[in-house]
Amino acid sequence: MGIDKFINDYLDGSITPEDDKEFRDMLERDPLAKEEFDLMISTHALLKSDAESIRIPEDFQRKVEERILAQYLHIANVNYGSKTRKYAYSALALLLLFVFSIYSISDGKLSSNYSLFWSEIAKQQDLLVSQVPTLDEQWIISQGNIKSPTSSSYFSNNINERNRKNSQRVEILEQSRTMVEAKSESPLVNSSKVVSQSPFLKLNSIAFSTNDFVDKNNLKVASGNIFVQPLNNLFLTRNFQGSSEFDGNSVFPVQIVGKGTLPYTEYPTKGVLLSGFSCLPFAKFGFADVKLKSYSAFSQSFGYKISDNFRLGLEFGYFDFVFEHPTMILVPATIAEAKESKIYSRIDKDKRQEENLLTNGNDFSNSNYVQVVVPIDRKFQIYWGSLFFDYIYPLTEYFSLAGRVNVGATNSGALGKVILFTEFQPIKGLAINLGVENKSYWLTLPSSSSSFKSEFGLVYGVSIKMDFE
Amino acid sequence: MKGFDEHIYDEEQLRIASEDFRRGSAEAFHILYQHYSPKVYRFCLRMLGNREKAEDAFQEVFTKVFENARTFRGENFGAWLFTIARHICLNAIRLEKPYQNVEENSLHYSYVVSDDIGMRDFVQKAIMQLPVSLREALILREYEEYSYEEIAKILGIGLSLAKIRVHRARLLLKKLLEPIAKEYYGNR
Repeated sequence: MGIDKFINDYLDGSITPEDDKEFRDMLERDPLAKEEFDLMISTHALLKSDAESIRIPEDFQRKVEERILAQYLHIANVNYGSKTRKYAYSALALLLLFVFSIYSISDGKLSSNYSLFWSEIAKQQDLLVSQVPTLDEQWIISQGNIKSPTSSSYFSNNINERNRKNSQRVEILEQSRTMVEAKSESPLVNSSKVVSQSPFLKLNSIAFSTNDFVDKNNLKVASGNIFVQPLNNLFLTRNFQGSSEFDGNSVFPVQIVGKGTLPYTEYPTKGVLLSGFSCLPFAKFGFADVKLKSYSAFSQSFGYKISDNFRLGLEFGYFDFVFEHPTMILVPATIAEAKESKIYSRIDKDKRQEENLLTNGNDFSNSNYVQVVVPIDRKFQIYWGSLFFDYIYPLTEYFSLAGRVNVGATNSGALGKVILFTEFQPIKGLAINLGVENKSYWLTLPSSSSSFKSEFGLVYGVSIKMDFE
Repeated sequence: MKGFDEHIYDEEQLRIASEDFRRGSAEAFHILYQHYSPKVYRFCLRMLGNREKAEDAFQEVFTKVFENARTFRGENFGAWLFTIARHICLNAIRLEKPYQNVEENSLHYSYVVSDDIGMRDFVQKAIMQLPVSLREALILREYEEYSYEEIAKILGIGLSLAKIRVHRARLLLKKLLEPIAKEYYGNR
């Protein structure tokens, strides 16, 4: 073993007894080795002396400790406080989000008079079907095969003429129903808003309302803002004026409870927004063939902060359109009667349809019915989901600029979105967002073909920001 | 581990303090700071060779210490602390003009040592001529008296390499400090 290794082990105190003996012998017989050893010991002593001589300046040491400790305690307190607040805010936000979700999705209770209306129509139609004779039964009735004390005299007088008319109307209405079912629409339902304002309201009808319904004669009826559906016109034509001719056997459990209009344009998507954005479009492209009555949009996003400046996440939401949908309805009247009773002017208030376009129907022409096309407000909802990527550029303690790029799809096709927005964070963990967005997507509306739509809008929202360390 | 400082706490006190520090105890931080701050200052000063830079690095070290308190696993606070100190010093060295590392056969010194201050400057300059990898190993061993196992852990290298670096640094420094060593201690 060389002298350097012996010296090194000696300094480390790790020299073995055998090496120590050999080392000492080497130092005694070799003056150069002794000189190297002395030099290394001196160097070692110099370093120890240097180490002992270095003193941290007391004032500097104290000030640094005070500053760091003060900062440390401050941060500890702030962390404690901010965490408590953050959890409280988050709990509140989740509660509000939960309430808002119920508000948004519960069609029947809180949010949508419109949805309540349609669901009630479905219920009432079921009820009506169960209580009103079927077409076959009505056909039997019209043929005189009913067991009524008074029916025989009635049918014996005018049976042939009335049966002829009834059979015609039943045939028409069967065709109408077949056509309507094929389109998954109900022109009679759609038309009832109009008909309820027409002279034909005096016919037996059924009413629907957004107000509370009460049970009356086996039907739920309501007053006030109601909807009148003249379905019983299917079976009782204008020529049969009520029970005097049908002697009870023909009195259907259907009531007229009033008239009015439905709030078609009332929508539930206004309200507090949490953890997401709402959009107010100020420019739309691709809607030239559609007359939009209203538009609203809402989205929620869940992002993960992957660094100080970047987030990745999922964003999903929906937007509602209310647009005019031209719908053909059948009005139980001749063209002359319609003009005479001013049904035309009542139906077509906007004068979009010329008077001479009133027909007896293209698909099933019948002189007892007038075919009218009326604009019905329809609601169309698009759901979408996307992946997003955020870049955040902090400006101050409270303000940040951010950009978001979304790639995703709607239930009609592809969707892309770009948002530029600010984050104002008055309270740590809770930010208010304001910005602009461009959203582009493919959309197919019932009254138009699939096409590319794009819109620019103002976005606003609230974000809850939680840090997990 | 022994030191050269006034605030000496025994191993048990330091262990308890490091545990409490993880839980956010300001008192524990005070104990650890009192014990380790002279060592860290000395390490920074000899690593960087400049008082101002050493003070900047020193403050940064203890700022990082409490910022990263939750990452400390509670095993060896000293080793964890010097790992942070080493990284901060290496960053500072990288930011400055590359130092003229010494070649083993091109040693030079240009002034005569006449007092302790001169001796310290000479030692500092000699240490600064060591390659950084040898410098940090030597300071941890000769100044802070860390074991080779602890040095290996702080530097993130193997035990044998830690020993080799200290050995090489000693040999290099022996040549660098030969004039002043002879002046101070003469031939024994």
